[in-house]
Amino acid sequence: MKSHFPNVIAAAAFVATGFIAPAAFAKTDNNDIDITLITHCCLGNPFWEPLLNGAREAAKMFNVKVDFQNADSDPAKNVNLIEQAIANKQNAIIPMLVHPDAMAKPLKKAMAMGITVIAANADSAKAYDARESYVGASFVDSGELIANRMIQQHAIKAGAKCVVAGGKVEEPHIAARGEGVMKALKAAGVGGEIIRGGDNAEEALNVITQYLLSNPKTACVIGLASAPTEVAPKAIQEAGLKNLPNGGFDLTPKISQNIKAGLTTASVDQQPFWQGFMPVMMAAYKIRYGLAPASFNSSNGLVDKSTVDIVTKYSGKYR
Amino acid sequence: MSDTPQSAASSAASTRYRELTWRRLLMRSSAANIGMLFVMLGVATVIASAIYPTDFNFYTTGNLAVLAQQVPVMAVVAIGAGFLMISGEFDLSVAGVYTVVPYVTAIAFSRWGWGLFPALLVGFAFAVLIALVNGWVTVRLHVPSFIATLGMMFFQRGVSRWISIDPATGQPSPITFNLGDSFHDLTSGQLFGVIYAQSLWLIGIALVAVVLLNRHFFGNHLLATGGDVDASEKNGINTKRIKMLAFVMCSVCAGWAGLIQSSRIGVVSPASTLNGLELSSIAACVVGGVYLLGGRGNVLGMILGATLLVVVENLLVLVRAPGEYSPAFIGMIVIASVIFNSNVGSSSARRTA
Repeated sequence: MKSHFPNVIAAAAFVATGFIAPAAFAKTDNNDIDITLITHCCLGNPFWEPLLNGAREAAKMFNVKVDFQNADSDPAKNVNLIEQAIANKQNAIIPMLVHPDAMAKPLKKAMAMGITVIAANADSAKAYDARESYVGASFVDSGELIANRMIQQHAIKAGAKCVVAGGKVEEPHIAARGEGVMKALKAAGVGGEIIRGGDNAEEALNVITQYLLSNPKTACVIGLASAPTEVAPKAIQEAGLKNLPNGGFDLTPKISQNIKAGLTTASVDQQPFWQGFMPVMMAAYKIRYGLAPASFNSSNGLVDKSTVDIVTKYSGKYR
Repeated sequence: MSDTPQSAASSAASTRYRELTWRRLLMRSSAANIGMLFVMLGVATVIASAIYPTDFNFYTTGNLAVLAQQVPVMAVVAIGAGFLMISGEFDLSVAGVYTVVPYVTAIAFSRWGWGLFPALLVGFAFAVLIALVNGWVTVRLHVPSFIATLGMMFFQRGVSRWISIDPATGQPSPITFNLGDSFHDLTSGQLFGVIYAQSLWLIGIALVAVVLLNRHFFGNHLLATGGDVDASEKNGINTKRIKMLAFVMCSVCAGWAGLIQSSRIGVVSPASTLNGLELSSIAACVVGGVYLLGGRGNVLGMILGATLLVVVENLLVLVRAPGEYSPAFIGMIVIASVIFNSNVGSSSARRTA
């Protein structure tokens, strides 16, 4: 007759080592400030690397601890992670306000409990009172910036039509970029069509290629996120079109390569490094010295062939 | 007065029967196996809380409140998915239903100005319609449910984005979910400041599910259908109808879970369809001992399986494990639970045989 005892002991050991041991380093003795940074989606996208690296560098420099969590594009998970950060007695939360309707309430609760809240990367007017400051790009303005550059550099004439490939176009910051792009196109008499490009390179490549195959007279491609911007030259090539102007948002190693090779005109650089570094630094100084966090536009405008070299050199870490 | 030899033998047999029954309940039941894991997890967390009272915040009001609101959502979806799995089928479209039902309800209520009940009715009509299509394709056209509902999952992703287009901007966008204070209080409010409505809904739904599965002919027919379709049909069970009903139950549960979640967070987003709920619900059932090929499972196991997944994810955040790696931990837990479940189950079966 076989005893259950070894099984039970093995399972108990598994559970105990799994959950008690990590508690041992749950909070480190020498760091008195704990911060939770919640990215809103798509980890693995190279865009996040400089942002996370910025937060890590600031954590090291200012002797604080940062936990990185990811909400997987799910508003409920975003809310749960914020509430867990509150329950876990974190000193500061750095959210990305892509779902302001859902996130405002728990963030206000956090602020009422004395937790510092600094939004990064994505902001919303609906949640201005649910964060102390914001570090990130101005989305509508940067949308106008890239669209105007495309129109001017490639002399796109009134009556022509551009395709505007979003990432997840239902997310407010992507919608705001799209709004800026469409505003500039309209002002120049150029037509624009927003399509959902997906948040990964494969999906974006398929969607843009198919659009171009059915609309070969398209005058330009503008990506609203890193994935469509990154794959636009490849989609143009696969659709059998040549020298079709394209540009967009964000910098990844591939986008930098495309700009350097002359395949992509320009991309809006929102400098994600600052979006990770500054909120962590400001949270540390707010908590230690009472310095109020400040908002600022992290964007450095457009990166094009003339400015891309330094970007390529530090790509993935700082750019 | 002394016992006769017959009555003594009868008493011994009765005692032996009771022992076996308890042993069966404790050791053979998959829910009991996963329950043992829970006890161990409980012991581990209590010890961790005692050793690190200020750093390990599992048993804090705030964290327990998060769990009280998170667990019921996953558990209700798992109960529906579990019933369908017992019938021998899967539904990969639950995440879509979870999003579409609150979306349609919110649009009917807020944008079209419908009353609460008509709005809820149209929301659930979508859930039932989706279930009937899934069921019809599966049982009438003999397309495996995995494929039929996979197709429905992709279809719904497109539909949810389409219905989420904001007329003002022409783009898909999240919609505010506010069906009034009464609905909010009933679905995500608090009783006496400590009991969350979601938990009460879970208890109610679980009780109905237990009665249906264990005290109603439907449960018998469901288990029989999942165990052996041919034998069930020879015994006069309408297996097609049973499976259709299981699809409907699965969809309605997912829709209701979507409603109570949306009521809590006040918004419903088409992006929610991408959160992997369809696989999490199946994983919860498997962890809870629902047999992957149908014919076996119980409601307690489904709830415990769902709870375990949520609690593990919660613990990972509390112990500050990096969020990008948490799916790896969840995967390990699913595999470990299933191995533990099957080892203890088969071992206890040998002991009681």
